[in-house]
Amino acid sequence: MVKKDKWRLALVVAVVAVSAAIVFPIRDKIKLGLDLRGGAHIVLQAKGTAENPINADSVERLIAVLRSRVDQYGVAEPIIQKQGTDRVALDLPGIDDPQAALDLIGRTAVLEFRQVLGASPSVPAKPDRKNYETEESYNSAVSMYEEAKKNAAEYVEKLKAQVPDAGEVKVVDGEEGNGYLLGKLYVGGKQLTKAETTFDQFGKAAVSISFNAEGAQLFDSATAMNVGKQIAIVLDDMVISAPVVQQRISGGNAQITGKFTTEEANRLAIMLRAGALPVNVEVLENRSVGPTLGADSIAKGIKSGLIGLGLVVIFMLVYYGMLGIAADIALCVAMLIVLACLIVLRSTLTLPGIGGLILTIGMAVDGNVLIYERMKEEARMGKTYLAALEAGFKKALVVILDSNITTLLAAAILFYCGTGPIRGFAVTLSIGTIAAVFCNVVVTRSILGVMLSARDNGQKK
Amino acid sequence: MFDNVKFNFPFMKYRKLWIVISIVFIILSFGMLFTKGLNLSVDFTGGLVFQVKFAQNAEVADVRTCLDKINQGQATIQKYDNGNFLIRLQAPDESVRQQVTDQLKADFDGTEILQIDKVGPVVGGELRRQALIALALALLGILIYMAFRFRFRFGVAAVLALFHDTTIMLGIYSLTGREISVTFIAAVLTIVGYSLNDTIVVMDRIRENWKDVRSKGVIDVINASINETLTRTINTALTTLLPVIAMLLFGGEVIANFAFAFLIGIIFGTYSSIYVAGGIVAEWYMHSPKA
Repeated sequence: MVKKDKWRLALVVAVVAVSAAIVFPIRDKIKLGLDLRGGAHIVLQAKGTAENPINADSVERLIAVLRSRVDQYGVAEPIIQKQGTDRVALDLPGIDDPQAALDLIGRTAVLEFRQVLGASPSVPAKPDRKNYETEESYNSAVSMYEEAKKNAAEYVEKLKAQVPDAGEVKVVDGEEGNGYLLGKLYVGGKQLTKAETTFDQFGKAAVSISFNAEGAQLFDSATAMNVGKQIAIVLDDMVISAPVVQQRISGGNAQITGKFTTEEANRLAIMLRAGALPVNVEVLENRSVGPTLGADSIAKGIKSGLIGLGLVVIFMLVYYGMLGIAADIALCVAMLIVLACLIVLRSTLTLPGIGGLILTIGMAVDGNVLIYERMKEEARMGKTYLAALEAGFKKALVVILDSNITTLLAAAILFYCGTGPIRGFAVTLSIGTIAAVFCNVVVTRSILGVMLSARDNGQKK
Repeated sequence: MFDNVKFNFPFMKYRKLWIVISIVFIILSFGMLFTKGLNLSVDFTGGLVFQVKFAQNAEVADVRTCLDKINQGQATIQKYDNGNFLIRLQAPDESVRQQVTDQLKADFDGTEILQIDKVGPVVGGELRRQALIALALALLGILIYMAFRFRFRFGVAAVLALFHDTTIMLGIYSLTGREISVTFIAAVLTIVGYSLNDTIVVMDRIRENWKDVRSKGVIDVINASINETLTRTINTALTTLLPVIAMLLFGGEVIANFAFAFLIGIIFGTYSSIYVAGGIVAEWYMHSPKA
């Protein structure tokens, strides 16, 4: 074996080892698209009115409301993003009942200021490791947090059992897992005219709110009755803030202060505006797949992929014999590399993506076929195996690169123009094509180098 | 280790016959497209598709009776082998989705909604435009690539071969009434890549053998080139078809639909790289050998 061959072999071994280390065990490593794991992809169009036109702020308000609702519904890893200027796209994985999700999302926001009759013990903010010096102090903070959360939950359960969910009095969850017993409705969101982040005289973030004339009057009497007590601000049946009334507020301008960071204040202001000027939406697109169908698709995809792989492996073995073994090993390495790339790039595998992957199995051996046919021609011209191998690889390389460029071209266009599932297809097709070229040119050559030198050594005396 | 089979089929002898057959296929495809048209999926038309499963046994007629109660009896209803139903409605209204699910759940035991696809007319139009842009970009990309890579006539022949493949693919989809969805567009572009790849291998060999064109004549040069690459052409088609057939038989509805497009594309793509591209180059050269 020449030195160059040794380096090549070392490269192949390294690539295989790294890929295998990444891929195995494969369970839960590949990110699945919504069409495979089940879930809903929803595109909403924000609809403006004359007094509530669509602009950057209204879309931001809409997203704030959607995010809060999705969190309430308990969706893991939701993706909510602005699309264009007036659309919002939501990816909600693992939704069992797309109907329920859609009802939740399509609803118009409702904001209320209500009387607080009682509150569960409060739950502190979830501890963050970087605020604690030692592991022990952090752990004790976490257990205190868990304890408080449990207490609050038990209290809320008890309240709910006692209070019939009807009439004016009701139990409403807070954002931290705590709960409130709420009474009279004081002011509605329609009376709120302004909500924005300001800074108080100490430079601390606060939220300033203003009411219209009717709201100012209602708020005046509400604060008069509740000095020293809390008033709950409720958005979509969730208490987003419950400030304590410090004094009677007349004139309709109030400031909510507290231990806000600027982001928290911004968020509260956006949610208040969202409730004051709710944005109506229209569902433009909704693609929901139940979890059973997704699991079924994966099972069928794996089955047809393995059958396809088996057929190709057998074909190459029968047609090319020893050369076929090299091609088959290279094919398996290519598939291993593709899986490793999918994991490392964190790209999403979709149903068409599985199709692309299976198609790649067939197209991957094309490079081997091209090389082997060239080698046969060279051998027919009287060259030795080793010389035929050299010439075959050299001459076929141009064609292999050439022909794979067209596939990559098609994949690039699909990626650029396509959405969700089609992008997944473009990604697997591209990764598959590149991995196939590497395996055709480098892996096959190494294997054949090893095979032929072993054979030559055997023949030499 | 190596066999010594060498083919020498006189492919170019029948080139005129095959070119005529190809032209007839293309005309028939256009005929289908203009008369019967394409069965565009909700991706492009907008509308509502449900895939549902019932615990009880049901037939298409039962589902239609159920939907008639809410005046949606005109829906396209399809029953799959595994007992799942596909219900397609041209109703962009949100309330219809609600009504249909409610009615199905009321009339059938254990109704499970496996999938809902709702595409509004606006998005449908956008997806249609996106698909056309994708096809146009692909065509442009190929033309630029061919201009760099091949002499003018070879490029034209390769592009005509692609036109031939895609037209016939569309014709067969029109004939069989299969659905044209976004995934079909993806399949077409992939096939364009595959078929071009096939043509390039043959063209590349023709270019390599072109030095003999004066001594042996264009027919012999092209024939020799096709024969020399024939094993590769067939083997690659076979190795690609094997997984495609596996997908068609075992992949489930969506994958099988995808695979069907590949199947047709590979068959015609392989044929066109042998006959269409080679035939055009031969005829062109014989009519005007210069340039």
